[in-house]
Amino acid sequence: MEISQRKSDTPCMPHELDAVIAAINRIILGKGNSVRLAIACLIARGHLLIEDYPGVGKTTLAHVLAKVLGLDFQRIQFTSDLLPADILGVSVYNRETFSFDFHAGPVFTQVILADEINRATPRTQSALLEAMGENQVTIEGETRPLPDPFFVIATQNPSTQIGTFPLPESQLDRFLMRIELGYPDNAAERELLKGRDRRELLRDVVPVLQPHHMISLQEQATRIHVADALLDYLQDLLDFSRTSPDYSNGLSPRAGLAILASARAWALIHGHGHVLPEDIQAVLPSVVGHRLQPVREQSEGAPVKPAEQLIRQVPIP
Amino acid sequence: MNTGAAAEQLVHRELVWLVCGIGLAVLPHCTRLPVWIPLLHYCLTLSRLRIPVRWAQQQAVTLTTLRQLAMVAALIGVYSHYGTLAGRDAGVALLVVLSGFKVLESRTPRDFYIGCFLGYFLGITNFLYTQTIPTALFMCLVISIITACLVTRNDTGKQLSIPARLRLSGALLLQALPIMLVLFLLFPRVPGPLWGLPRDANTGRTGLDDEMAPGSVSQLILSDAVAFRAKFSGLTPEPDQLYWRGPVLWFSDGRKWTTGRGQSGRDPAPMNSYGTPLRYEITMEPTGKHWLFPLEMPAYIPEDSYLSADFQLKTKLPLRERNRYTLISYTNFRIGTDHPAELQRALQLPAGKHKKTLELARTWRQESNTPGQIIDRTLQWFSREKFYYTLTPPLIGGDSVDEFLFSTRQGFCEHYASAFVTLMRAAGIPARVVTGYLGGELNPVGDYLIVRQRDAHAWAEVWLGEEGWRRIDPTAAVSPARISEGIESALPDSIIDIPLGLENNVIARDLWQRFNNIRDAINYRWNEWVVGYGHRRQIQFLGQFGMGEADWRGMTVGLMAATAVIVLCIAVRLFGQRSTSADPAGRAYDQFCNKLARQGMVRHLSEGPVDFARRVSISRADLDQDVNRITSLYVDIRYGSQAHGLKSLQQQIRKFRAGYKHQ
Repeated sequence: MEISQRKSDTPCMPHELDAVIAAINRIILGKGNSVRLAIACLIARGHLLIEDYPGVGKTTLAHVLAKVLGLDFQRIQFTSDLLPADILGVSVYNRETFSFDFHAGPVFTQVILADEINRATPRTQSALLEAMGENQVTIEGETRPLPDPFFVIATQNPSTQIGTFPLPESQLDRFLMRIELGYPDNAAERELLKGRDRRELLRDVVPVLQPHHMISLQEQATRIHVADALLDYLQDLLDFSRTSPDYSNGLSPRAGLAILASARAWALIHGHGHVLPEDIQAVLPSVVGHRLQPVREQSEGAPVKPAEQLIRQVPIP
Repeated sequence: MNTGAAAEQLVHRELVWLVCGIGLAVLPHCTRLPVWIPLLHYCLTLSRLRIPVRWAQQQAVTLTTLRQLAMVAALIGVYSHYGTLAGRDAGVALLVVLSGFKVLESRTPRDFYIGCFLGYFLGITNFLYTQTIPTALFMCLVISIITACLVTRNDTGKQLSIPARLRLSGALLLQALPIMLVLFLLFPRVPGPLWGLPRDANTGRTGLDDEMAPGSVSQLILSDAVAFRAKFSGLTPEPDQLYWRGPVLWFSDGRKWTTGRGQSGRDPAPMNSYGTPLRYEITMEPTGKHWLFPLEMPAYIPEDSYLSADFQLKTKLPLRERNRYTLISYTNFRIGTDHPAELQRALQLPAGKHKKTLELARTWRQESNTPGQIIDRTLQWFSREKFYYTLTPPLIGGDSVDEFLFSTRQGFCEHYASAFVTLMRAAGIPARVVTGYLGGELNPVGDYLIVRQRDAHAWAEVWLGEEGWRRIDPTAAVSPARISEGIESALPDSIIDIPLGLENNVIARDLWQRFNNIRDAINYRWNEWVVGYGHRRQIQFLGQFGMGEADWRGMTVGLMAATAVIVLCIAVRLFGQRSTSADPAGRAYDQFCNKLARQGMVRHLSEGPVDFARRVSISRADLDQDVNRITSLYVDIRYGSQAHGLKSLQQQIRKFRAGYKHQ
């Protein structure tokens, strides 16, 4: 009974989400899974970190996401000389009113693209990260709320690149998901080469959703049913990560909540009335990939991705 | 080989396991091999663990040359030590050395597997030397560690801890147990050894031989080794009746007694027996020689043995394995006359020796009328004069009999027997030395006698005309306790090893004795049922199940049938995994998965139900509808909030048939 009720609550949302995904997929070719993960991340009220090499479409993805969802968008290019005030804003003395006027920085928007976040100094990084954690900004003793919804989509180059300040683990934890785009496959690459310029295409994109739709979707996601059997599975996963000697530290309770929220969002996107183990498995690599550190082994073969190993080793109860 | 993919390289952990496994298998050989062979093995295997991979790759050519040179040197070493490369000892030495080289050059998984199987084989070679319970237990350990090597190698997820690997290996071996038992019980045994053991298989064993010199028996006394065990069907006779007859010695060179030549081949002299027959079984330890040790005197002897003229019981083939014989003896007997030539031989004395003894014998002969008087006088002389029974007699340098009788007067049974026979012969009474065992230790646990090497004894037989050959034990005149109470009472305590300095503690002695009895009873069963499980015992065992007539064909059929049954049971268990789920829907779903598993579609434990259904639909389009319907119902019940529908799910799963539909 409950299910059918719930389904009637959201008669057209999955359909609209499909339209969103389709619109994005027209620009970002052959990355359907990454796109769905990014949307799930936003629905779960999380911030997204896209980590990959330059030129694979990180920025384009962030752009098109904001545009399709009908949200305000600001882009901050992080550089080593960027200061916190450049992000948050400054108070400037106004001679006419004899007072300080606050000039809001680019952070006061619904979607921020923080491009190459690991190029800025840790001080600047943390200014943004505070905003991400608290959904508010404190400047000169005054606390200013940030708009709702508020997303940060950060991109970073793999930290092996020269001239980067890698994000510390505690700050990585503020991102709900970390995804990679990777190179396009053969067919997608061909289409990309033959098609029109992406920038031009981007200009033509029209919003599919209204800003309040996003908030409604977020609420719906929190109401997706989670059965005890599924919580058993989730707890088994957390337990395993904490007891297995393969990881240097287990998953935190916050990570557990993050997995659940993401799985709910994923279930919503896919029109499931309830969360399935498959939903958890689908989001797990992106949610725990940056939180789980494998113990380093000398002279072993190719590195095993910790999340994939976790999925493989924990049986579904 | 060097260009193999990274995944094909052996990792350090696997090598550590391999080195440990093979090293343990080699360990017991250390006591049997020249010291450099195990040393070389351990150096080679341990150095494999220490060589840095990069350095080894850079120096590959040099290392290979070095290795080959070292191997040739080792082969030459083994050859020069044993004079051959074949046979048990040289073969094992070769195997130990070469397994070291194999580990050293191991690079690929293939090398690793060869190493593991070499380890198994090295373990087996220990049984060529000893087949005791401790050896078997140790080999169980070795085999489980080598199996754990294989587990480590195939632990692709690298998630197993060391105890988990050992547990898994133990579980694997336990699962192999039924097949092992079937093979052990039903594999056709052939009478005699399956293949000829090399010549060196039976050397170095202690035991009585066909000669006796001063000191040869007292050396045996130091040995705790079991000579044989005897189990009487009725009452066990008194200790002073337990003369186990072995080699009979006729010829003396003044110091050493030997059997001499020419007496065998004739039938034994006639024997009159009195009293009740004693029926018993003896289980001989392998000696590599022919003698059996029957209770004096045997009346019924086993098929494959014969009695010589002087009542030595010999087998036709040397005793190369532990064997059991059924015999009947009479302790009350009289063995009669014989060839005159034999009596002549029983008077032989070495020329020009034992002058004082001859002198004494001559006086006694003049003073006495009958042989009986001379014998009595001699025995009285032994007991009245200061003769001592000791295990550590002073060394005798010159004429052994003269010196013993007239100066040292301290000796062991061999001294007394030899001196007595010399005296008798000098006095004109035909006499001979008999060696064998006296007494034995009753094991109340198994109710049988254990006769050890330390029960070795020597006594005399004299010819008394009408009465025939009569046993005279001169030791009895000196140390009656040796005869009536056994060797332990006649010897100082230090002969019996009691640990922790508790020799004087009565309770400790008693406990120690009881412990030894239990231990020996276990060993006896082990020898009887495991080591000694040969052709005869197999027939006897199978006879209990009405298969006594089975020949090797029947056994092979039985073997295959039993193996098939076991494999079938395992298969049923594997494919019919019992559900562990506490949830009724989960149990029903497990049942559903079992049905699919029987068709080869096995759900991985971490595979979600929807993913699994998709996979099944792809490979079996005919099941598509059923599988999707059941899965979605299951998912709704288990993960959704739907409470009803369980009955329907269970019903659908019961009806579900995964087999191919015949259309």
